[in-house]
Amino acid sequence: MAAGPSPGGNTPAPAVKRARVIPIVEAASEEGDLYAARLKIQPRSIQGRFNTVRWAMVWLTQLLFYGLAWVPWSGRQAVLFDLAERKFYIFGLVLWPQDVVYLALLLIISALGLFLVTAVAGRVWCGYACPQSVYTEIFMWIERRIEGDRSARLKLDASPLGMRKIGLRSAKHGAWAILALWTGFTFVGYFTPIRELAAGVSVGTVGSWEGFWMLFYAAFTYIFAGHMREQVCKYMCPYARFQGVMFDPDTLIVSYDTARGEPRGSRRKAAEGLPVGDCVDCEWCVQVCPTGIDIRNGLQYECIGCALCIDACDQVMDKVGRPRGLIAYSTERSQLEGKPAHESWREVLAHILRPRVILYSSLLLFICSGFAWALFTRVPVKVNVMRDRASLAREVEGGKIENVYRLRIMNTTELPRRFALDVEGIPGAAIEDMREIEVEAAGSRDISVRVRVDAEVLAPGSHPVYFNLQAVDAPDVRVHEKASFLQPR
Amino acid sequence: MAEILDDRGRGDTRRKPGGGVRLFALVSWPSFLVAALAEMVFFSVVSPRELYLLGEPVYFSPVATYSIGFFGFWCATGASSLLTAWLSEKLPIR
Repeated sequence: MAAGPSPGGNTPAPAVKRARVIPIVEAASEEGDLYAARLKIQPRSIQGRFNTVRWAMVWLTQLLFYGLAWVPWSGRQAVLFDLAERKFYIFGLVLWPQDVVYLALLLIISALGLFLVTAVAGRVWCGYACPQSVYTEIFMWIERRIEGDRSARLKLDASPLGMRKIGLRSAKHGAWAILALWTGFTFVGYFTPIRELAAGVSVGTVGSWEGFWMLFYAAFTYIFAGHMREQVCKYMCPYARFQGVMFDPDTLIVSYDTARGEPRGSRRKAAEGLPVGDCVDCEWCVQVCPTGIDIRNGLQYECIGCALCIDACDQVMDKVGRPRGLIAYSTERSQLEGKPAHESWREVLAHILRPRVILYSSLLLFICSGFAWALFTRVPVKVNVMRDRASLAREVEGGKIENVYRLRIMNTTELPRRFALDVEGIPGAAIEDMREIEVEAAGSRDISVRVRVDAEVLAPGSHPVYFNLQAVDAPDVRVHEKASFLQPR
Repeated sequence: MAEILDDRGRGDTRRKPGGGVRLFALVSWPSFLVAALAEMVFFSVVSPRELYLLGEPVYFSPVATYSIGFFGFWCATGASSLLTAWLSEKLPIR
């Protein structure tokens, strides 16, 4: 096997080199372990149920990611997070900076959703949907197409540098780079209109920051999916570390049936009359593992729950004529009780309906309904009222006091709209020269409004005053905004 | 260092990064995540047009402001992560 440090990797530093200033307690440290030589994992490719599901998820997520940016919607990009204009377009919805609460709610919903899924089914997010897994899978597929299967790749790793190796390696890195660049381009295409961006790229007139972010994201993809792979999950991912708190004895985990499998050994041993379990110790489960662990050692935090070892073991069990399920999705409780995970739907339900899951689900349902309600009842116009600082309250003809306000009216629909404005809260308050205000589609307009009040009506000081903005064509589209009116005397 | 073997004499199949790589990952990645979050929160509240740079209104394009802001956040969170990593590394008692 091609052991030893990989090219560019660090030479393993001996543990004694680490400066420990005050050695009060001699720690029984595992540091040596952490500084062990870095071995490149070359997973064996495997067909099977779970591999099919993984690839279905690759297609689903990536068609969505690469495709959605190109979908048009009433003359613009359907999904566009326009940073320059500070407007987010999501199909028929236009979100403004004032709508940041929706973003917060969306983040909370995502987090709760992740908690719920983790409590029920363990790390299915990691195994099937996490971009790190998905891109690693695509990059590994490219690697397999170019460099061959596992044994061919191991041989190639071990072979001296020659024309063939250089050729294969360049082809692989070239293909990776192209995919990474396309990914970077698509990513930036969600923040800058992608068609303009494509036109810019084709003639070489992309803005420098857009160009920078494209390369940045491409480099990110290339390094993470091509080189770092499972190390991201093991050393960098916070979720991998804290998912343990969301697990309980009823959470689905990929596990090896020790009672049935052990003592492991070849069929030959069995023929010799030695006691052997069902595990033939073929090591396929280890070889297919993208994080390079041995699932037979029990639940490990490195396990991303991709279930490829189940696919591998099922095939082997079929070959040796033993029932499938030596490695299977199971729960800690079923393992302790020593029975297969699920015998009937009733049992499955009993596993799933437990306080933790019910709590997460109700919270999720509550916040989702709140989100839907807020979105549904959202008034598609907003007003910001600012007192004009340049001109304070002043006395005008007819014994009146005038205050000037600046109003920013934001029309969040995709049609131009006309609005009527009036003022209330102070008897006799009126707006001078009031006309209907037209605001373009998904646009905003700043207007200056002069409000006049009879001087006798008010005591000196600040008084609340309310602006009512009413869409001319829709009676339910109205906003009520508070401001203050200053009486100087 | 010798390869670590399990009780059946086989090498560990797990890949482990060396100290430098590990430190880099430990410092750069969490700070990246927090910087991304900070960037989102900050700029969803503050418009780049409302910022001042050394007393002058910011004249960059919005995308440039967002980008510079992000790297600013990343530098700050990265420095904090680096300090934490260094301090915990020097921790005398575990």
